[in-house]
Amino acid sequence: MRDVTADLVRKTACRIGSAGTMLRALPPTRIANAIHEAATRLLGTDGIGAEARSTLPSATGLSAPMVEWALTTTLRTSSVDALMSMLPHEVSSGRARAHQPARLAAVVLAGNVFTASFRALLAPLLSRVPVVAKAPSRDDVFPRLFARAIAEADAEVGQAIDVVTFQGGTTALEDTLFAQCDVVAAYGSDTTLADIRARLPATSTFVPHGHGLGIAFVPISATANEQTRAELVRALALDVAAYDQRGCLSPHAIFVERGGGISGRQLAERLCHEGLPHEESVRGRGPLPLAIGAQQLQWRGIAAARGDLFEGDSWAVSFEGCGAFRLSPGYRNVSVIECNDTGDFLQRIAPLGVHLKCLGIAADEAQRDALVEQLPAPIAPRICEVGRMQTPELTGPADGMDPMFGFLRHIALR
Amino acid sequence: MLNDIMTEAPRDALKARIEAFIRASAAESYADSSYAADDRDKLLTDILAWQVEKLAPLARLKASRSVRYPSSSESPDAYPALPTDLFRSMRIASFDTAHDTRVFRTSGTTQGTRGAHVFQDLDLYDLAAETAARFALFPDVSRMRLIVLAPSADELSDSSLSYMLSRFHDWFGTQDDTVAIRNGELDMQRLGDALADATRTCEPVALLGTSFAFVHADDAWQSKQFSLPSGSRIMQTGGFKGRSREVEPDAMRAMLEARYGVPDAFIVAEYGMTELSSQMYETTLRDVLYAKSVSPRRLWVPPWVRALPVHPETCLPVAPGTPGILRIDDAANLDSCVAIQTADLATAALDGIVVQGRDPSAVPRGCSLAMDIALSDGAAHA
Repeated sequence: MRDVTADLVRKTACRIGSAGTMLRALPPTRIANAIHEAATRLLGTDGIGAEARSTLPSATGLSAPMVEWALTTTLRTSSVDALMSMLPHEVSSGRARAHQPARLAAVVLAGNVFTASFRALLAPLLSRVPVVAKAPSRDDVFPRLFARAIAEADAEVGQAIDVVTFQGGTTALEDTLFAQCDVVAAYGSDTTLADIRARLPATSTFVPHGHGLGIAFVPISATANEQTRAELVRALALDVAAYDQRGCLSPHAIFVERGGGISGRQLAERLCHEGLPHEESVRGRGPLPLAIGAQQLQWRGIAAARGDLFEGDSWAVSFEGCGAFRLSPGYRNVSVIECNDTGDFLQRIAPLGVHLKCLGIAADEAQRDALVEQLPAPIAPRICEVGRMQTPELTGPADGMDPMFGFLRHIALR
Repeated sequence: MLNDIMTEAPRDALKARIEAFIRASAAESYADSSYAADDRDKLLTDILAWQVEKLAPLARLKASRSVRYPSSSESPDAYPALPTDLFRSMRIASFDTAHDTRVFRTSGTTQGTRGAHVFQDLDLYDLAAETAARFALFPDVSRMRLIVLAPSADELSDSSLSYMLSRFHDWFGTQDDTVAIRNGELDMQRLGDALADATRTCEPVALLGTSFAFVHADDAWQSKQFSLPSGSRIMQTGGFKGRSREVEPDAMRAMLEARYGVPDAFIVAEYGMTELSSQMYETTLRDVLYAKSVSPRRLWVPPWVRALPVHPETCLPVAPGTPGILRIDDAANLDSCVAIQTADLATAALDGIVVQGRDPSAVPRGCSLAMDIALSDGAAHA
C-alpha cells in the first residue's frame, strides 16, 4: 500500500467530484445496470470474480466457503429491478426532478463484514452521487474490487467511485476528505462516529451507522414439534455462524420463551451438537485472532462458572438460565437465555436501544408484526425470521433510515 | 466449633506451606528460574485441589471444561483458571462474608462494573509483596525515600496498589516519604518540593506510581527537568485506562529518563492485578546491579507464581516464544483462587514473561462501553 498523503486524498476527491456532472446526466437505469453488471462479474468464477475468491479469505479472515456464501447471498440481491426500487419513484420514473443529489459523498467503511460496503457504496452511486470510500487499512480488498468491477462494467460510472486506504482516526487525512464532501456516511463504533460528527462542517449531512448487534427470540409457538425444532436449530446456527458472528446483525444471544417444546438448555445443547457442527462442516470458521481468543477465554470461562457451557472445536453455546445478557466476543460464541414471555423478553432487550440492529424471530409474519407493535422506544431493528438475520434485503432500511438517506435532498415543487 | 476447626485446619496448613515456600525462595537464589518449579507446582496443585472443594465457580468450571484439561491432578494444568472478568459478577472467596477484612476493587474504567477481590487476612499478600519488591526494586538498600504518585491507602482504601505502596512505606520507606496525590489530584507543588529536596540533599529516591500519573506530571512540568541522585529509581505500573494520553513503553522510559535523570535500567515496570496477591517486576535494575549485562526487558516471575501464556482454545501452555493469553497461578491467592486467566497477550521469554497487554486493534464487539454498563446494571435478573 502506498503512503497516502493529504494531497493525494484532496486530488482523489477533486477527481471523483468532477465526475458528478457526468453522473447526474446519466439515467438511473444506466447506473443500476452498471451495478448489477459489476455484481455479476464479482459472482463469476473467472476474472475479477476469481480474484475476489482468491484474495478475500486472507483479507477478511473468513473461510473460503464463508466468503462464497457472503458473496452469493449479497450480490444476487442486486437485480436491476431491486436497485431501481431503492430510488424514490420520481427519480426512477424520470419524472419531475424532486430530488437533488449531493455533490460528493465520503463513505467511511468498517472492516468487520466485508459485504457491508456493497450497499454502502451502491447507494450514493445509484443516487447519482460520486463517492470516495475510506477503507480500513486492513480490509480494503472488497471495496477496491467493487470499484474496479463498476469501472469494468461501465467506464463512465466507474469514474465516479474510488477508494482511499489509511488508518482509521488519521484525522488530518479524514478532514481533508470531509472538507470536499457534502455528505459523509460512516460505519464504526459510537466513539468513532461521535468523533467524526464533531469534525464535520455544519452544512455537511452526516449518516451514522454505529456498531450494534442482533438478538434472536424463540416463542413457544416455534417449538411445537420436532420438525420445527430441527429447522429452528439449523436456522439459528446459520445466523450465528454467518460472517463468524462479526457483524452488526449477528445474534449475541437467543432468548427462549419458557414452556415450549424445547428448554433453553436443550436448545443450547442441540445448537452445539447439531447446528453449529453442520455449519462448521460447510462454512468453517476462520482463524481466531489472539486478541479475540483472550475475550473468548473470558466469555467461556464465565459461562461455565455461572451456568452450562457446551463447547465444540470452534464454537460454544452457553446456557445461563434466566441470567443477565452478556456481550459475546463473536466468532461463534452465543448465549441461550430463558425468558418468561414476550413481555419479559422485550423488557430485557430494552437497554440495547438503538444498538439492537436485528431481531430474528422464530415465528410467522403475523406474529412478527404483532411483536413490532410492542417494541419499546427507541428500538427499531430490522426484524426477520431466524435463518435470515445475516442476509438483509438490499431495499430495506439501514439502521432505521431509508438506504438513500443523506444522498438525495428533497425539492419542494409548487 | 468442630466444623470450623475441621474447615480451617487444611487452610491453615496450606497457608503455612505457602509462607514457608515464599520465605525459603527468598533465601535462595531468585535468579535461578528453575528454582523449585516442581515444588511450586505441587504446592499450587494442592491449593487448587482444596479450592475446588470450596469455590463453586471453580468446581463448575472444572466440570464443564474438563475435556480441555488433563485428567492428572498432579499439575496445575489439571485445573481451569478463573477469568478475571468473573470477579466483576461473582464473589470469589473460600470464606464467608463475615470474615471479610479487606476488599480490593478494580478501577472499573475499562469495563464499567468493578471487580472485587476479598481477603480474610493480608498475611500472604504482605509477604508476597514485600518479598518481590525487596528482590526487584530494593535489593541494594534497606530503606530509601519514597515519592508516591498514587493515592494513599487512607484516601483510596479499596485500591490494591495504594495499599501496597502504603505498605512499602512501612517496609522500605523513611519518615520523609511523600505522597504526591491528594484528594485525587496530583499535587505538583508537593511533588516538586520532594524532588528538589532529594536533589539538594543528594539522597536517592524511589519514584513509584501509575503510568497515567507520570504522564500527567510530565505534561505539567513543561520544560522543567530534574537530575535525581545516583541510585534513584522509578517503578511505574498499570495501563492508561483512558485517564491520560497513551505512551508506548519505550517512549515512556525515555520520557522518564529525560525528565528525572534516572537511567533506563533503573526504570522498572511492575505488573500487578487486583485479582492477584503477587506482583511481577522487570529485572533491569537487578541486572545492572548484579549481572554483567542488562538482558532484554521481561517480567520476573516470583518462585511461588507460575505465569504461562496459554492457547485460547486448548487452554494449555503454548511453546516458549509463541504468543498466548497469560494465565497466572499465584500461590498467595489462597482465599480466592490460585488460577487466574487474564485477558493479556504475553510471550514466555528467557526466564520471564513479556506482556503485550490487550490488543488495542481488537474490534469492539457490537456495541459500546456505555451499553455494556447498562446491561450489567439494568438487565440482570437475580
